[in-house]
Amino acid sequence: MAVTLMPHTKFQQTLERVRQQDRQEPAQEPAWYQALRDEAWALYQALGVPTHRHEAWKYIDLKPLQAADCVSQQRDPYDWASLEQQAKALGIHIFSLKKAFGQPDILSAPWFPRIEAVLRQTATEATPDAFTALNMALHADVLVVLVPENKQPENKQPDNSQAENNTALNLELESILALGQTKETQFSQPRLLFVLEKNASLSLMLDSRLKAVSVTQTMFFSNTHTSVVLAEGASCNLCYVKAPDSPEATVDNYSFFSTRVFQAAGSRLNLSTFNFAPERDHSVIRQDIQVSLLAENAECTLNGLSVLNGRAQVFNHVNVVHASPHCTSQQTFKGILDGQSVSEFDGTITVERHAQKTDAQQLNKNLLLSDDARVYTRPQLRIDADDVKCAHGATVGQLDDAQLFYLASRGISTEVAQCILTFGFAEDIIQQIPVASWQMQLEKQALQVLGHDNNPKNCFTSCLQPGQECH
Amino acid sequence: MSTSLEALTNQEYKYGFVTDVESDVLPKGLSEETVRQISAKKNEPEFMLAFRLNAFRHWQKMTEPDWANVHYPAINYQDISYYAAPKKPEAKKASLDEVDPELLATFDKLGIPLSEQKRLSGVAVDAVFDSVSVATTFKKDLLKHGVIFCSFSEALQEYPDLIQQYLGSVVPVTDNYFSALNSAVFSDGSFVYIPKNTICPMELSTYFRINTQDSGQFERTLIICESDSKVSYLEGCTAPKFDTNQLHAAVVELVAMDRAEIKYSTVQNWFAGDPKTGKGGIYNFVTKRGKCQGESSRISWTQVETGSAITWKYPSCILVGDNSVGEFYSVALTNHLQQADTGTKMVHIGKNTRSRIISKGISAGKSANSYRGQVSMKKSAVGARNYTQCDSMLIGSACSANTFPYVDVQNASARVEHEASTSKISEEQLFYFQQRGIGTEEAVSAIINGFCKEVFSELPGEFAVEATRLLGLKLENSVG
Repeated sequence: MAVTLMPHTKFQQTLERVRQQDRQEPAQEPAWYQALRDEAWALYQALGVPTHRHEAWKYIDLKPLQAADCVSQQRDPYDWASLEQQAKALGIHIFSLKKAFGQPDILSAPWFPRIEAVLRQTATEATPDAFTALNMALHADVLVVLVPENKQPENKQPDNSQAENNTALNLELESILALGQTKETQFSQPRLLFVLEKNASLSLMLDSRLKAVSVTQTMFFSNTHTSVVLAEGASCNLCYVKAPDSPEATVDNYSFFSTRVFQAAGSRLNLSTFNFAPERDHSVIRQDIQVSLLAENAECTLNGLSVLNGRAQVFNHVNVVHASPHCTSQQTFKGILDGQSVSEFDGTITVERHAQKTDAQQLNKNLLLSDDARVYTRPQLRIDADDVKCAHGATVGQLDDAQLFYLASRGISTEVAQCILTFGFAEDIIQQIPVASWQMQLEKQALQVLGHDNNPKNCFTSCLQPGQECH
Repeated sequence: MSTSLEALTNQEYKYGFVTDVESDVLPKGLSEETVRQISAKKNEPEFMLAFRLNAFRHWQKMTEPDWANVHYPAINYQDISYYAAPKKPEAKKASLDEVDPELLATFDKLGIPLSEQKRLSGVAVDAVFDSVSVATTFKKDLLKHGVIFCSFSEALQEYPDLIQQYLGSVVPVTDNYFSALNSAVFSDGSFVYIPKNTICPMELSTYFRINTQDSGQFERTLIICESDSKVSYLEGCTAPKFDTNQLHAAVVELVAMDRAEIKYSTVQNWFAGDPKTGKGGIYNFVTKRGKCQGESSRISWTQVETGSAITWKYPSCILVGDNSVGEFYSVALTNHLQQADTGTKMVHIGKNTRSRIISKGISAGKSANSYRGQVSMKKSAVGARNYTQCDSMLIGSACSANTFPYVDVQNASARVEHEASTSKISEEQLFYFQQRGIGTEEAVSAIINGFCKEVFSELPGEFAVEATRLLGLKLENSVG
């Protein structure tokens, strides 16, 4: 890969400064962990910042980021007091890795060697990527969540996944990002690790509310990495939400999220991502999700919804690798684009040679509401086994005239009809969330960003929702 | 897949013979001097040499593309002979009787209706042997209708203005590595001009054959269809068996004016290399592009790709005129160690432009078959519409099938749909046939033909029959 490093960019200078600080105060990290960081840093240096010549980074303009003057990085260990309390009650382990390195009771716990093995395993990747390497090299701390064997939510049958899930945890990613109302450019690289042991289950919502920052020369950069390791029969519901904390907020940022999932036999993953960007949003969000189905009967469902306006840009890169026979996967990503927003979907289904009887589906649907918005979609199949069922589809279009006419013929105004149809388009994804309380929150957010909530004419949408009163 | 399905492809390549004709071959190697020599040999007008040299200079600055999903050892461009022609007196033969009987016999063997007696077939043929066009049939009949159908070299002498106006207008010399190389060294090809309000009275056809070892074939085809006219053009290709690879880098340009219709069909059966070792075979690196210049014009590509060691080919349509239509129908079959990375590009610029892509990929043996396509809806393409369907079929568990579609939409009134599926020939299907007393081989052939039906139905009469037979032969013993 011919990449030219640009060591003189402000961005590069920041990185080097952070790296320097890290080396001067090596904290309590053991040597093996430092070695992993060094390796990742060397890899990042070799790869350099990707340019539009890299297929996976083709449509992202990283120049503003390169020129940004990133000032501060969150360097203290994460403070998880309240979360740890919650975790204790549920019987799961949540801790800061940085702190744990100084706590003998954690280091000597019978499950810690497992965590160490996973940390080593997830530190390097088969296909190197500059920003995941950067996260490994410079992350301030790792939030570790470990769900012990057979840990099931109380009062709940394992197969009754639609019911309210008692182990549902809400993490405000904001607290990890330590993002405050500052005029300086923020720089953060959170790292999360979820390990679910045999037959364990966990539901987790990562709600990252991007705070309003003043527009002038302010840039926020975050590069979040999540590793999820599911042992046999484990089941995990993950939900990422990215939205500004108020619809009036002006957000100018680069947020990269990379997620790597490793699934053992019979494990299940339900991962949903939501991006809500209202009119004044200038955020650039890149999500890179890679799921490896490593043993038989593993299942994964990936859903995504982006409701974008303003100059928001969302780049979804998904790769589901079927490395073993009899696995199922499903990807459904939808986009509603208005304003000058941009959405990219680059999804791949990879079926390895011996992964017979694979059943994989992939769908990307886009609703284009403005002539200035732009959609790139690339649903890809790479298939090396012959006895498989794989299908993919992609559509880009507008609201259906016939549907609008149908509603009009029943006395519903065009405005309300459009409302019903766009919301219905989004609702498809929201309803696949297994946790009811999350569903309600997301519906509300979707309505808000679609601009439907304040309009009394659109009271139907409120009426559709449980627990809300009609205007 | 059971062993019963593993034996149907070991049919020998029957066009693998070499014809013993004396050839006039340029020494291997490529330099500005080679380009000048080719141009001089063909006695070309000044602008043509300038065009070639410009292309050559650009080519030198370019790097070979590596994004396609194909793997081959680096090509040594200095180890190829860029010009090979059967030796013959200077003037082109007045009638077929004067053509080297060896050559005629060759084309007879290939089943090309060169001899004008075979009027029944009603197809006008331009036969290209190595670097030059050796015979064009039905020229006079066509001229009566105002249709010009001749070799590219003749066209350069007789209609230089038309060539100067249109050459490079669809595929500019700087377009890509292989088209730049072609622009610099192309030796011959076909030229078709259909005047206004003319429906070409017969199917036009070109037959390409590479005969000389270590030579490359760089042909250039230019088809211009004026307003309210219509033409259907066929192209077929074969090459002898050599254990070295030969490069075929052609460029095809189509221009369709107002309400004109061009239908371009290809049955490609170049030598695919040794089935076991993969040695030899043709590198088929072709740039084909049509421009729907006028309103309501239509360009339709149909291809049946069964040969070549490597195919790298994306017949495309640039839909400039309002209401213009682009179509792409493709069957790509790979077997043994063949590799194919093929697809199309539909660029929608005009209002209410429509395009349709139907691609069927069949991979067997240890081959790799990729569909790579782009649908681009520009801002001006109000009301544009695209439908894409690409299906893959895998035969055996050692092959691979990939789909890489690129969709780029900048217009809120455009509609794009893409769907793809992957399937195999199941034991159940074969069992069903067997129950009815139909053998495995016939059953497979029936299933494959059903799979490709949408594409075959687009091929002109005789070609459709040929294509059906060709697929059957190619897959013989790969399933069984």
